[in-house]
Amino acid sequence: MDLPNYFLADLKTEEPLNPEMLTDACLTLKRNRRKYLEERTTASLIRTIANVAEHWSYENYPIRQYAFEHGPQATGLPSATLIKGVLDFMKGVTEENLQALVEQDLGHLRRLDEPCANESDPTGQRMSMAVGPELILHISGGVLPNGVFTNIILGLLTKSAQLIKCTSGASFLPRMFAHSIYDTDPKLGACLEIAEWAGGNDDLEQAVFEETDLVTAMGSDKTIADIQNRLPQGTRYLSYGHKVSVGYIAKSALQGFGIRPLLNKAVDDIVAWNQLGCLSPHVIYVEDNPELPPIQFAEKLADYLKDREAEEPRGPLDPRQAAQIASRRSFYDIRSAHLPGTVTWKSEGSTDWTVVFEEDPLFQLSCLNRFIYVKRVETLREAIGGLEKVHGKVSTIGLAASPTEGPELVKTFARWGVTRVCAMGAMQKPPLLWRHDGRPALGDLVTWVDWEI
Amino acid sequence: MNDPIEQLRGFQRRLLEKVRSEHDRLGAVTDDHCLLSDDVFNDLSLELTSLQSKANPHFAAQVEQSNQGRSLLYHWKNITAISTHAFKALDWTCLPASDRTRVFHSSGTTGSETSKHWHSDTSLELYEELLLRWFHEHPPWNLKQFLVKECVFLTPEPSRVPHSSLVHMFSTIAKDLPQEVVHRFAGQLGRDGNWDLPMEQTIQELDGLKHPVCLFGTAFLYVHLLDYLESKGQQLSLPEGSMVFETGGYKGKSREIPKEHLYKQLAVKLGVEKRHFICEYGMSELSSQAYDAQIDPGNLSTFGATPRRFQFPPWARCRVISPETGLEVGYGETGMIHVIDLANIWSCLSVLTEDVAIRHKEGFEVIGRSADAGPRGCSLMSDDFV
Repeated sequence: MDLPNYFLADLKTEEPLNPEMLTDACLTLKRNRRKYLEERTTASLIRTIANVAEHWSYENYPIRQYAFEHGPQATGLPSATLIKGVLDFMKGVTEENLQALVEQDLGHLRRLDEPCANESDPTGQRMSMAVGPELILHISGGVLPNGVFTNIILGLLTKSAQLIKCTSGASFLPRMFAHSIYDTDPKLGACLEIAEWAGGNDDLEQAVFEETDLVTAMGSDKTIADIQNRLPQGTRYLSYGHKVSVGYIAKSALQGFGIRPLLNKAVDDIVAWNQLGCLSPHVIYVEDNPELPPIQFAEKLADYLKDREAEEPRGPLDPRQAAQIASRRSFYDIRSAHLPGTVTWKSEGSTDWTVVFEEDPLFQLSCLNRFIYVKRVETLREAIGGLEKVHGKVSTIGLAASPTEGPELVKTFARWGVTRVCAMGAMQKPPLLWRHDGRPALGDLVTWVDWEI
Repeated sequence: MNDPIEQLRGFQRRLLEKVRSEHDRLGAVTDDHCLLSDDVFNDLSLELTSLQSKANPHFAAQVEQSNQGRSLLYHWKNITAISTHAFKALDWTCLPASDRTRVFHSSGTTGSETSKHWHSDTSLELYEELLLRWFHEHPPWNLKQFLVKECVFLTPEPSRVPHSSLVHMFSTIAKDLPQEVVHRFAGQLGRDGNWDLPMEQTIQELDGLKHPVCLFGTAFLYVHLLDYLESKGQQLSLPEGSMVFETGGYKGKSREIPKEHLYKQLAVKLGVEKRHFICEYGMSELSSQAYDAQIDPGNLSTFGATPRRFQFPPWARCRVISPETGLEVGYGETGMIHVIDLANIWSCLSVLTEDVAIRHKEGFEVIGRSADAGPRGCSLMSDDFV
């Protein structure tokens, strides 16, 4: 199958992008938005987006086949990991979920189509409408596609033209998603542009900044600050910095028949996207308990990771990433030989998976790619003390606790600054309704227009 | 003689005697050097492993742990490697506490913990002699006609940074320079502890030179120099025969430029021919250094003309090993740098670095640090985990 050249990132030419090409692309996008998108109803957009996602569930859908055949080479992600990650995402993109998202963030399904009454207004004398930006620039970082897919969906819902800037070598999956939109509804596809260049190219970026109302960016703190400093005054900016996530297993969850499924779910979280996403756990805190003490939990987790490796291999790594794992393993080998309280389990003859158990509750950044820390704690307070060095940087807690204990633990995490708590096993599967970094993802894109009757 | 310290002293004496007598016999390192014989190197490295195990219980435990279930240690390639990370967590030294007169710290990335390599008067004596011997094997110091008349070290003075192994190396080189060659340390120590260069003054002095000079500096100091020259729209033209000695990585202290680009820009901005660049690979955890110059004594015109490959001296061996299996990779393949350094008599002879290299027949080519792999997803990552 040969995909047509709809997007700049499709072009295989050696000719590099130049500012004029990007300015032209922005003007075309805005024109197409006026012609094809501005007057579309939210209901129709939702139907189309849900259709696109449904197509991905068909095994013989040509774009899916193409994406899954060439994806591993294009992204460096192993086939099983990539397929599972993309399909899990698409499964969540349904009409019901999209409607719920609009209602959650905007209070009314037709809020983006026309002025609607506000239920909370006691006078009944005011209606409101939400309007999306004319052109959004999304700056994505890394090869994981879910964030970009979500951004594209949100931008379509707000009826905005969108230019998605991918970092070098990372445009493949966003392109495939955009092609599937084009394939389902060419007019919507014409309101999207996917381009790829190495970040920090001021000439190219300024050309797009000049035409854009809103910029969203995902990346390191440095990248995000750098973009902010270069934006023209008045351009709105939404940034999502790199974050970390952790698992927390209360002793109430470590009982009887619940243990095996819990271990499987912990492994699901570790292998999803090979742990590279900000929602993947670096550390799993385990409360001390007589049923399955934390060190034994770590040992069992290693067994489960070993079994999962046979079903869903991690795949080869760039030598520098593998060297990070080897170097860190070597450090923990030494630490475990000399200091009590550290034990490691690891795949033999490869860097496929590693479990490091430590008594010390201090949070450690994992080198990822299935390298997980298990740490023993007595109480949640002790874990929070250990997490202090990443205060403000924790995105998700994968929690396992009894239903009675859950609300108290969530309250403590919330007051400490965590913005998402989910069940273990669902860390990398946030719902469409997820408030990214605690902010309404769709609500943050729009401007409100009040009509006082 | 059962005292391990005495035995290590004896080992040091014998190693130095071997190196000196080979130098007297051959004049320079050639393929005939006895330490290039695998048997001789093997005997010495196994003996040193045994002596270090006696003197350092940490190392003994590590050797024991890695040899479990295997036959006796019989080849230097099987000696357990101590990660440079481990130098941050434990004292890898055979020196009794009373003999530890000097310590070198790794430069580390900003804000990270640094590793410690302890030295005594005896160990520094060995370090300095071997350092100079291998240094002298490389242009322009091995040339009969010594062109450079001045050496400018871009780092702070040794007294300001007593824990820097790099500056100690520079200071050792400086003390050994021929009498007619003048030298100075141009760098400064900033309030934040970072190294800095008084740019205006340094550039003014370099601009006025009438004789060839050799600059010694780290990659990040050269980047600062380049950035300054760029911002002022300036370009220097150092006298013909001038050299650039470059070492060390960026360690987050400047923007990073691929080495080839750095050399290209330095060649243009300083007016030094690219073939007059020499690059050193070393670290505070090692006592030996590798140079990437071609060993072609007496011929400055071909120096640096061929692809750059690092080589350690005969008393150290480098293996490029697969991070997956720990086995040596094939030629042209990428892996981690593992060094067996016989000059590390008083610390630990087998060091696993964080650096990644391509193995070549003629030596190795450093392509970066494992930490440079960087995040591919959106998760926060850092190599400063200790």
